[in-house]
Amino acid sequence: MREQIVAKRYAEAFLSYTKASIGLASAVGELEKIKLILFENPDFQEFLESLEIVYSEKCQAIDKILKDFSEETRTFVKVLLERDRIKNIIGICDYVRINYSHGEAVDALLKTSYPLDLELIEKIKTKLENRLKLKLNLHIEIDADLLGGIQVTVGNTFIDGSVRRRLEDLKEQLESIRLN
Amino acid sequence: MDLRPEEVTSVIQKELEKYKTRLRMESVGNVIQVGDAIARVYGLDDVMMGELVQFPNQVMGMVLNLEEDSVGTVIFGPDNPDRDIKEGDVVKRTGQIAQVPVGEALLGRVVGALGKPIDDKGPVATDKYRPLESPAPSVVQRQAVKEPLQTGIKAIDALIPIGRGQRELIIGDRQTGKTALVIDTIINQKDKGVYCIYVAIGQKMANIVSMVETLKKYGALEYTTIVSASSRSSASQQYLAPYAGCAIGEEFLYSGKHALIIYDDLSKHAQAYRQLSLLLRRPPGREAYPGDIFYLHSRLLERAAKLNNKLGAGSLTAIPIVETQAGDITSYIPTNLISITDGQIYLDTDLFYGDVRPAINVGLSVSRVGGKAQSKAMQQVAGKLRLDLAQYRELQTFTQFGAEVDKTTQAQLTRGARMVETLKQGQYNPLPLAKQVMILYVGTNGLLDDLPASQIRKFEAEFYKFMEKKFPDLERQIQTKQTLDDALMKSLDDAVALFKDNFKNQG
Repeated sequence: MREQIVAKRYAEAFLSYTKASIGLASAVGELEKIKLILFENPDFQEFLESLEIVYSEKCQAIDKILKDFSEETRTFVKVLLERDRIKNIIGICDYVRINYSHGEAVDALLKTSYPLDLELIEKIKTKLENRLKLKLNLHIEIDADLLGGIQVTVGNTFIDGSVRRRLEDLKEQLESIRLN
Repeated sequence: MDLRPEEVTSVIQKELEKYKTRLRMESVGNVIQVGDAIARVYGLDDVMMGELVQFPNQVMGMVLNLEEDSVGTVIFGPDNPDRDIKEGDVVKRTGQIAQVPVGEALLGRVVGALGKPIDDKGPVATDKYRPLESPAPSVVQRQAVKEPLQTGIKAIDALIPIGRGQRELIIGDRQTGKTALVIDTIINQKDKGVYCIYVAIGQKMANIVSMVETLKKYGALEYTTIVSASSRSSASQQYLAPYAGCAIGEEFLYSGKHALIIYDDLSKHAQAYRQLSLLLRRPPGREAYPGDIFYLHSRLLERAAKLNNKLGAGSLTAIPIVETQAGDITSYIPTNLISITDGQIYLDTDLFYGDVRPAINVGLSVSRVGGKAQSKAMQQVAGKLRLDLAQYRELQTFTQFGAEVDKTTQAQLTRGARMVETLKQGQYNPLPLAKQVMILYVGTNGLLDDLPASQIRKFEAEFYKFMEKKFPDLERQIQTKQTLDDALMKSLDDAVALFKDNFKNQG
């Protein structure tokens, strides 16, 4: 659990830093490549984690091996070295791959009670994207229990426009009436 | 209740007409682990500490832990409240913190820890709510305790007086009459303008039922609210019940009225909180209680106060009860509570079985602020009493070995034995102030010394009857004057002399 938290912190920081300079897509790509390199060359990882080799020597090696990479990524690896978080690097790469491989789009779940036209779905999507200021990667599910209307889940936000919820609201309201 | 269908139809119609619904954006999370009435929730990023959250099937919970990657919540409800909740369930924020209905509609009712009625008298008709947790009155808002809270128990009113707005701990082993003391105190508040709240934490349901029956029998239920979190309730409810009771009491406090709240008992409350804390994986401390166990009780008891005149001079008196194990008052929770409260009443097993009931150990009991609130008449008789009893205790240990004693010592022993006898009192029999003053006056002035100790209780009972019949005026005068002046003392002396002749001839 703790490793995941650390990985999330570093990954988010790195991406928000690179967003303005090299762009999200290339940052994600470079991290993916780093992971590949580490996998193919376990010796390199051992070298990075070794306690016997001094920091400056490691930095020189990084500059040489990762010379095709951007300055930002190299600095990031150096920061990890400096902070003694280099063993988290795989975790960080994984986090980025899982959460940002589709670009900035966020997964969203749209539930409807019956199949909708593509046109309507597109409309809903643009409206939601404007409202939430996010790019959405819409998944669609049919749930007849909704009775009508739609339900959208984006991360921890939940928008309920279903007929079922409205009926529940009405029920609650009617039950709270008190006769004098 | 008779209902007219047309009326109901029209009300429903009106509601339907104005019914409007809006799309709501809600913050949600998912249960990742559930068990022992605790749920860990992933998500709910913006939830507040102490906020209520909604689980499926109308089950409510409260946020107690905010962690890096999850939220720890407790689930409310009796009998395994988590049985309907499973991994992956959606949890919604409500944006509210826990609150209870308050006001006079709650008098005579038995409610659960969240203010839901659990008697069969229908819903509580009130629109007023108060949050469970609220800050205690500040220094400026308070004033010193100045009015007495009469418990109707001679030993307490004379030696360990309680003032309105005070916090007095009742401490003792199991089966020493702790609850009996507070029942008598509640019964004694009849027609005195003090509302009572009795919070039962982790008690047997049967005890709560018999408590309600007793209060009803003595006409005390009409000014009493019972907040019940029995041992059947989950630990979360037992943890919240005292705060709910306190919120109900605060409504009276802030509307310039007087209220008395009894927490029975806080050792079970601490245990419930320990259970929650350990399940929430908070680090255990001494006796496995969490680190904030002191604050748990201190913030609760700080809410008892006497408000200043500008705020209506209301008061909330708190009588927490704590159970000790084998008379050990130095264990963790009792010492905490002793240091928080303004004094304690210590009940002793040995005294209880030695037929001294109420089994109050006068030596270990104190009241730090109540003395100032004691009425003048009581102060006049109680001062001597305290001294008599202290000397008696000292001499008693000394003479246990059969030492020869001189005349003065013998006199002190006789007096002490009579006073101990005088302070005994039956259950459900609280006495008004004037009666207490009269009998203590008789005792402390040595007017009982020539009677055998075994006759004292009979003497007392008949003395009250005699005074009511022959000198009803005297009692009334003490009650109104609240002090014993020379004339009153003279007439008391005369009355006692007259009664003693009768009593001796008869017996």
